[in-house]
Amino acid sequence: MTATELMQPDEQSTRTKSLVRVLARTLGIRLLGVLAILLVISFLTFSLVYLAPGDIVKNLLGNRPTSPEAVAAIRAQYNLDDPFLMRYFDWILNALRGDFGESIRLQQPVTTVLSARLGYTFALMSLSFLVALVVAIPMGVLSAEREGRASDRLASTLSLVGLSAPSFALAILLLYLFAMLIPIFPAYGGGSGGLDTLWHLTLPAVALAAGIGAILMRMTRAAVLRELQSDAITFARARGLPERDIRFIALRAAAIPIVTSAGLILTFIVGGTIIVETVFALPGIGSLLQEAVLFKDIPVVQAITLLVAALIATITIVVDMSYLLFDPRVRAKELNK
Amino acid sequence: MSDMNSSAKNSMKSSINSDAKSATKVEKLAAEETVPGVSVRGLSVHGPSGVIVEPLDFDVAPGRTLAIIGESGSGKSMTARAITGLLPRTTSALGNARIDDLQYDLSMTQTQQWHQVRGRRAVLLLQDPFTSLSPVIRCGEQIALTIKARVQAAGGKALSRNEVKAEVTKRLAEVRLPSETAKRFPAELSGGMRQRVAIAAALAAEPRLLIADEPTTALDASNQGGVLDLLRELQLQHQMSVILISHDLGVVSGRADDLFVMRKGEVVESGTTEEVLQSPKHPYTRALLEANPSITDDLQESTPGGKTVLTATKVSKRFGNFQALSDASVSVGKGEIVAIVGESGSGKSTFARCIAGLEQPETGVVTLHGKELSKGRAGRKPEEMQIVFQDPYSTLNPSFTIEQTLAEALRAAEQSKYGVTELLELVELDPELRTRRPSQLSGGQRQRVAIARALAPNPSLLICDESVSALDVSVQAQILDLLARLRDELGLAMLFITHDLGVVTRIANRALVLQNGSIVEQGETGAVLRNPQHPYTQMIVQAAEQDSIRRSDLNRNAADTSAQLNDKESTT
Amino acid sequence: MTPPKITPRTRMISITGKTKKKRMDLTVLLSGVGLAIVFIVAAISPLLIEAATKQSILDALLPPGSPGHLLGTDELGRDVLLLTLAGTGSAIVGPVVIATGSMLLAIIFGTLAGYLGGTVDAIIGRIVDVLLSLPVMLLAIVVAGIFGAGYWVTVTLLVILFSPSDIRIVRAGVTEQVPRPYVEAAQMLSLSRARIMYRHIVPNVWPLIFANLMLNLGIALVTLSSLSFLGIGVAPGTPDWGRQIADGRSVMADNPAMLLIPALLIVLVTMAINLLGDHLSERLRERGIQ
Repeated sequence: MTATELMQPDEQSTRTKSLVRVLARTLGIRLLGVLAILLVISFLTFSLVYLAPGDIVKNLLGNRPTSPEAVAAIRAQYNLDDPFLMRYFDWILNALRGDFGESIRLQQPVTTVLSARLGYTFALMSLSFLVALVVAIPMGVLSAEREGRASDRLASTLSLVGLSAPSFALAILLLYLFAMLIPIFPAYGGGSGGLDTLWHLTLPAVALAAGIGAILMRMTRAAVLRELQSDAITFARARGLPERDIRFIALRAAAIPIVTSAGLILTFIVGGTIIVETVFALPGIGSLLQEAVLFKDIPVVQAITLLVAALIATITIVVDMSYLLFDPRVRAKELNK
Repeated sequence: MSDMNSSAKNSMKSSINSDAKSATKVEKLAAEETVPGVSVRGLSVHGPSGVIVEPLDFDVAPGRTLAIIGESGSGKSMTARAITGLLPRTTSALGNARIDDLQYDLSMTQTQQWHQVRGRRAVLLLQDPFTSLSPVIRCGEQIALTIKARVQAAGGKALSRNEVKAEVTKRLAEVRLPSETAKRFPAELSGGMRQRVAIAAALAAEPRLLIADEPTTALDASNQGGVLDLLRELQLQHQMSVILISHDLGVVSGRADDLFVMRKGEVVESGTTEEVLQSPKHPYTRALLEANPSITDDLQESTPGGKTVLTATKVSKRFGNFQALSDASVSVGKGEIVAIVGESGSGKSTFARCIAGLEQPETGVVTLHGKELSKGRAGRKPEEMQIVFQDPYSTLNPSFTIEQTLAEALRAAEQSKYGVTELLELVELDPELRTRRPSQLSGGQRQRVAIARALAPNPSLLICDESVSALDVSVQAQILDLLARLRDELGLAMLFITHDLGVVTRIANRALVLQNGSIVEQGETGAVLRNPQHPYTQMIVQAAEQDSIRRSDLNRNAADTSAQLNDKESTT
Repeated sequence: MTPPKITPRTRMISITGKTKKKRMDLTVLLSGVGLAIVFIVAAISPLLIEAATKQSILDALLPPGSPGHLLGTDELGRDVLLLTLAGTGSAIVGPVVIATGSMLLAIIFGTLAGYLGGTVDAIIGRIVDVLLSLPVMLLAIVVAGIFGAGYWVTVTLLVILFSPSDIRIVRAGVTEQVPRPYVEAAQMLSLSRARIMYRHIVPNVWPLIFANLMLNLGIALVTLSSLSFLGIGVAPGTPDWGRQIADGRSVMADNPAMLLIPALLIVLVTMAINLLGDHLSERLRERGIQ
């Protein structure tokens, strides 16, 4: 009777097809949503120039002399006599082609400035993300499995410290300890590439990884703990599965929230790089942003803001889609829609 | 099993230190020393606030089923868990057990030691098939895990992939599921199918003892019997011992050999199932049997309803692509209880919610005293109709006192003939309870407060949406009595939504049956239940008859019954 | 086919877990007492600003332990102990305003979105999406930096930037309550929507709100001090922990206390907030369950 509810074998391919369709539809909807958000962000970013205090021309000139010729040149370069919306469309079309205008402070195309710095930031983010993943996830899993024991308390205390320590304070502390008191790591700069850069990035990556790692560890611990206390684990124990399988079942279910958390902390890393790069004087995007803000170098600020928004949008979509791919419950729900 | 009675009585005397003699916590006895089967001695469970289960003894021979029956708080589930060492963290067990040649101490705490018990000796099947299988692992793999664990524990050679696959198919076939089920995730299956997968996964361990803790409570009535009969059949086939835990005396007849009735951690009665069901000795057992609503009970007198209060005509409701309700109509007269019957997903609650305005139907007209009501809650008045919901634990705002809840309901009405005290008296509650919060009341008391709140605006129609389903049978019977009394005293028109045909028999004047959003049958309760016309109605009536207590067999003792039930409702 | 039951999971991060109660009580007590002292110092800190900013070239760069200057002085001869005490105000008051302010916004808009649904939910949801599409730190640096915002403008900005995630949390909490029978019973009594939302539902979401309020307090403290470390939100020369750490970098060799003490204080105060918050919200939740 109930067995008739089961799909027939020849329906298998239809099922796969409809899954692909659901995936495509969800991806499409998400992409549209994200594009809309990016459009709003780009508009707000563009408005920055006009909302910033002071005269636009003066802002765009920076510390160059304000001769009438220079003013006229700037007005022409930025089409300041065109209507606002038209200038926005000009700007966004150029931006889509990779042209964000010229840095006021450095007198170079923004794209050139950015590409010179992107490498460091990418390396720093990857390294700290890796450190956080490798340390926090196993720690969270072990902590959950040993709930209430000394090792769990130690891990929880460590994560509390990591969570409570601002990355700049931690960065300076690390500098003080490992670059000044015991000078084994370099204090400043990005190194000369390759292993040397890795060497220079170690302390910043650790400083950055501590906070986000603490968050990831707590989320992992909570996810694994919830699974370990679930009926599915009780039933697995009740039918005599070995501890190895118990762990497998718990981790398989906990993996979904852990992946989501990992995606979430990636966005925290983006915010954190600004601080850490500033402290360690790393020539990356974060320190560039901080300098650009202080010098009111608005084209650079605009470009970085858009770049970060696009990056975070991508992460969000990937995380959302991973739910659909890896969580059979969400998938069953979507397929039934 | 003839010693069942005496051993249960002995257990009352047996002391906690009975396990002190066994130095080794778990040991294999020589084969000639033992008889096959399960033997439990001095099992007791202790929680942070005292004893949860008093010491008890029992034996279950291979191929036989022991049913343990009790209401919530009776300790039946704790007993089941104690045997497999799966008690909640703050509780512990004493006593010892033997399954075939394996003797073990119930107080042991090492996972390693329990590994000798769980699986090949004993398996615990849980209540809720929606949570007992891992949602992210395919059904076949979950069964395969048990198979591999069994082979490994037996020290055999690891099976090849094909061998495992073949056995998974065999196990699925045993529970009447096609082999494709192996590729499904639990979320893709219905509740009944999930429980079959869980049974297959449990039996793949080839246990000597299967403990099934309310294995069908989460399922629809028409699925329940099938799953229980399947369990029985597989048990005989594999010559397993089975312990069946249930709150429902109705399901054990013909499916269990022996019966324990538990109450507040004690076995109050034990014997063979037929003995206990036919001539219950303990007043509590009799009270339970009496309270259990059964389709075979006497029907309500079919007094015609008074003036028509409510009519709902051709109500339809969609949720996305899902047609939850199509063209359903009903009318209720003054002093009449109309039951809307159906299984989960039949649209019965949707129907009630559309009438109440909690859902906006696409089409349909609802009139009260001939006046058309708006769709949705806007423009509706509290004195038109009220609902009593199912779950007593969330029906009251946990941050309000009882008085606040009732006073608010009284203020909402333009005029009410009651005060808070009168309302509480109306539902037979002590007015002293007014200062309490819901968390300080029992389930039955909360449901009474919910009824009082619903009556506060003096509504013309009372809708009961599965209002007694979440309650223990003895409490259920009292609430049903209360509702019947209120109908008669206040001349209330009542719409009673339920899945339980036993409850319909007890309370409804008329009944209508919903299947997949459409009304398939309606009429006087007697006509619908005793002479069903539609095949679906025939099917659910038959399932209910099978799972119900034949009360004609019983010797009743009304005086005893009421005495027993009254102290059941003491505040927790 | 029965629809799958997917229980909505409210993310509640517990730092301590339900570990040994007795052990926790001491740390919780210490956290409480410590925080009380810090709050008192923060309240009287405006009175100390004059004394703290008194410069004296003669006393410049004294090491910790110097007579009259327990923690030494900075390169302008300002007393580091006084400077740190005077900086307590801006370190504590802002975060308190940020955490409560953003939670207040979240209670209003999160409840509206969660209870009313439909268009209201969609509009609030899209605004939240936009604000959440950029990291708080980046938005704060860009906006406060470009506009040269002072302390209170920066605090107000952070109130707005903190609220979207709070709105999501409150909305999720409210959405979980809405299908509960007690809410529907209130609808059956035709109570006003405002009464159902703020009198019936919000009190039952309170444990969730409180837990996040405390969590936000810690994050706000870290964020605000990070901004002032970068020179955003605090005028030069004002006593402030983040600023002091930034200034302390150049005198690290002569007087490490200038930098280490406020850094340590930020860590300890945040830890105390988290510990206390965790303990209190656990208690609230237990009371709710009973």
